[in-house]
Amino acid sequence: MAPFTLLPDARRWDRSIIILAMLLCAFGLVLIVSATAADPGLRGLPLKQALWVLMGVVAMVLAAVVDHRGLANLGYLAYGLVVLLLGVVLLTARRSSHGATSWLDLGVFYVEPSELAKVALILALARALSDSPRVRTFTGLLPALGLMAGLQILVLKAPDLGTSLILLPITLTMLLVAGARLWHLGLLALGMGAAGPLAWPFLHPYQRDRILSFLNPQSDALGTGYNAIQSQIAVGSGGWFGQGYMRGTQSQLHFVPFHHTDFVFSVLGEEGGFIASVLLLALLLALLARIAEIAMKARDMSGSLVAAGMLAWLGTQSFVNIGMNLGLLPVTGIPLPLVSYGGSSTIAAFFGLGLVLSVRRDSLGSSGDR
Amino acid sequence: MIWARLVRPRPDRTAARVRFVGWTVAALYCVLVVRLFWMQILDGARYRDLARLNSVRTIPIRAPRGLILDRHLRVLVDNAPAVSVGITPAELPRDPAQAQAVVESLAGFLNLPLPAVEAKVASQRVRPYAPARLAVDVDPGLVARLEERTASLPGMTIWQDSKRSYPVAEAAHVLGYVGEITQGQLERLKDRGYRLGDWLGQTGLESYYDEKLRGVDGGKEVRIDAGGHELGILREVPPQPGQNLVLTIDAGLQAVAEDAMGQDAGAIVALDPRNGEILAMVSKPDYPASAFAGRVDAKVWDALNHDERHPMDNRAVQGLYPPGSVFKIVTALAALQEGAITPETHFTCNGIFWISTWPYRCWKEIGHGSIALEQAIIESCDIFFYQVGLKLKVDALARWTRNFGFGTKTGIDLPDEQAGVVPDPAWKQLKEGLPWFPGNTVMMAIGQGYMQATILQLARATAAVANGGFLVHPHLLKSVTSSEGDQVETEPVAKSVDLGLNPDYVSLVQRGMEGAVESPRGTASRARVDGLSVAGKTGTAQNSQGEDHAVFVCFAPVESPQVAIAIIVEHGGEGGLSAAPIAKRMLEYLYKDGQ
Repeated sequence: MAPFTLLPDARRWDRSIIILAMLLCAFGLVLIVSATAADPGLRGLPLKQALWVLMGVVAMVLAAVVDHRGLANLGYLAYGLVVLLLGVVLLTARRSSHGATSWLDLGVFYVEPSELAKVALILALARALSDSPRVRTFTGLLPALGLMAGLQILVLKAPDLGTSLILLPITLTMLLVAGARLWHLGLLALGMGAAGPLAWPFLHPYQRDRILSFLNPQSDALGTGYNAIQSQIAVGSGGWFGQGYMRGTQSQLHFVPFHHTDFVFSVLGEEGGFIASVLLLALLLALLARIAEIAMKARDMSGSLVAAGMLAWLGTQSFVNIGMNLGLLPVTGIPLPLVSYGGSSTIAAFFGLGLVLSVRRDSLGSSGDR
Repeated sequence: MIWARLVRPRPDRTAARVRFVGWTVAALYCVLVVRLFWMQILDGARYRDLARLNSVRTIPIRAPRGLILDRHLRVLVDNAPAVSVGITPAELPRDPAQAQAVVESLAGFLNLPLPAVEAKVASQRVRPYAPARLAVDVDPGLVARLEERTASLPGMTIWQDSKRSYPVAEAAHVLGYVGEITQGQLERLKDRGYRLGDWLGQTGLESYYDEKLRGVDGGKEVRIDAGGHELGILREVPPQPGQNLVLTIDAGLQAVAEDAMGQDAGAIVALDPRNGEILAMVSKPDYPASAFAGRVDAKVWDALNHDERHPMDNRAVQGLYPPGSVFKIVTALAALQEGAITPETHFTCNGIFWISTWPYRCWKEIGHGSIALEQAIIESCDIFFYQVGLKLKVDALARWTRNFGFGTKTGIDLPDEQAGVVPDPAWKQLKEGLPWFPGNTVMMAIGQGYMQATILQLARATAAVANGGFLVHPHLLKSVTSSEGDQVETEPVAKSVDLGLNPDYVSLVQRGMEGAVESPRGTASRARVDGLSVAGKTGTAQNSQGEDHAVFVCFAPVESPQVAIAIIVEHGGEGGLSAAPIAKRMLEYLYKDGQ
């Protein structure tokens, strides 16, 4: 059998995933329109985001029509490619003005390899873990951890602290689903916690500042704590129903920085209030629940792992992003998947969802309408 | 083949573990919902306030301070534009080291001590969007140099401010000066709407009528973006300019009086005996009124405040002096009213008067012989009044002294007025622990000894003699007008107090005073003005510290008095010598040159 099996049967597309993803993107577009309205420099962004969504849909369809096992098979290849890309970024990077992300300039548009790193890690781990029954031993965890650590170091150097942190729950979740012993994972998590401070010297000064200012935002209210405080003010002032679309003073008057990307949720909180915020959370949670269901019903371990990896990615990243907007978590500079403006993140998320669709199609194909 | 290995059967626990991950994510989302509820619903009001503070800024628009005009509407105090330089704390760099660099370099440019500037900026942090005023009325050249450096001095604010200007140089003490409100004053006045950076009258009428003069500041609420750029005006409340004060002062008379006094130390009060309007009030040495307008030279400030001659004091209401012989008119009326003497009562003056073994002398060594009241006033015979005092007794004399307004403040509309001292046996017992001696009474009868009065009190007592026995309420404010000058609001004047004097006695004392000026033997002939009937009385205020002070009181015209004047020239020697000619020049201005 060929590694690539096309499954073009239209009845097997999971409509809820597609609808929920499109709803979230629509939500995001509406917010991006509001977030960029007051700034002539950002005028073209909603249209561009629509383009990214379109390209994301194409990526999703491509991923979905290809047998996920075939892709998982290529997991190591994808991994190697991303490592290469990250290496190129590190060698050619110009630091952008706000210190955070380095991009790969492809001439026409920029690619953020760290977004691709998440997809690559999921594929590589699916390949590694479904292949190996040794995950129930402690040493059996090491290859997976090695794959994770390799990407983490490169991503951290990119520098993208947020993404490198997201790689951890993805790996742990996939190990868990693959059958690793709980106490192994517990021990691992503990060890990571203890090793956290060891990473301190490797962090960029601005990353340290962010963590310090999270611990005490008022210590430098106009400096590094500024973003967190301003976004909290924006969200908090929303009340039940918000200040009204395009009428949030904090967002419209630029008090909240990056409010079309990492802080887009604060625009929603301010202009849409509690009701709209909870609606967005409900949409996200519905999408996640559907992914979890697909992971549970997958026909094989590889499918479960891919879907569970996506569950961990989207679940933790949305939690960390919103938590950052609400002042619960440090500012780590990661976008809200499908909602925030951003080409690489949108396309990567859609591609991941395409993998989930593929898993779903595969499980339907095997047992009818299960 | 890889494919076969990939299709590993899925153990049952996989579903359970995925479910576990799913519920974990759901639990995390619950945390977000709870946090959202807490921020947006429970704590929403606080965040809404913060959001408002963030984006709405109130910029004060200062009300122009009211003008001060003389009775003929000549402008005495005006406003002039002046450029102020300050620091707006909210606009300083966020980095403390950079902010400090701005503060330091601005202190250097303005030549101000760094600790003072730092303290000023620190105290402004309660209103960080308003500038702390560091220097007012800054030299245009320096302003130009600072404006070139705007980019390198973020936080520096240059704005059009205003300062007081003085088209007329006189009456510095009466007008007072304006200064930025101090921390202590702010503490005291913040409930009355005063705020950091406000101008506040510090002395004189500027202080007394500050609330009329200051007006009500307006303001505009502007929407700003995070960069502090104004996006639009939400609401604008125009300022209400302060009211103008129209004074009872006659600027012309004031100028003549100040010129006549020169830079001798002393004081003059001229008032209208019919209503208590102060026509002129002089205190010397003085300071240029403009010394405290706008830029204040620290050296000048220091010199004025440490000058031994106390140029900052308004001697007319704050200086206390023994009134000397001018007080004889009070003693005379008291004795007549009490029946201690009659107009015909004669006493003999031999030049020396003995109380047991103590000699009390008359200023005229050979004595005045047998003399009655009118002549005794004309010639200012001391020994006549010693005996009047002894007949009257101290209690009655002290009571009548108080009736004439001594020992209490007149209530003039100026700050820091002194009450003076009216001695009596109880007072002496309390003060010195000694009994009252007859010698104290004779000294008091001629206005020496323990007696202490202000020149304003003397002028008012003189006015009471002039107007037939009414104690007027001296005041400086005639009316208040709106900034456009249309709505005139005359200040109500408290009713004069009727002392209940017998008109015959009053005219007797008036005749004596007129004789003192007009008759050949009068002591006050230096105040004589051709064609005007003037009544006056000289005095010598004994001064243990040096040469005696010259005192003179008068009123004119005698038939229908329109002005009463009291003058003291410190160290001016005998009464007639240096004080009376000043009165003469003022009367000449009023009745010959002026009007």
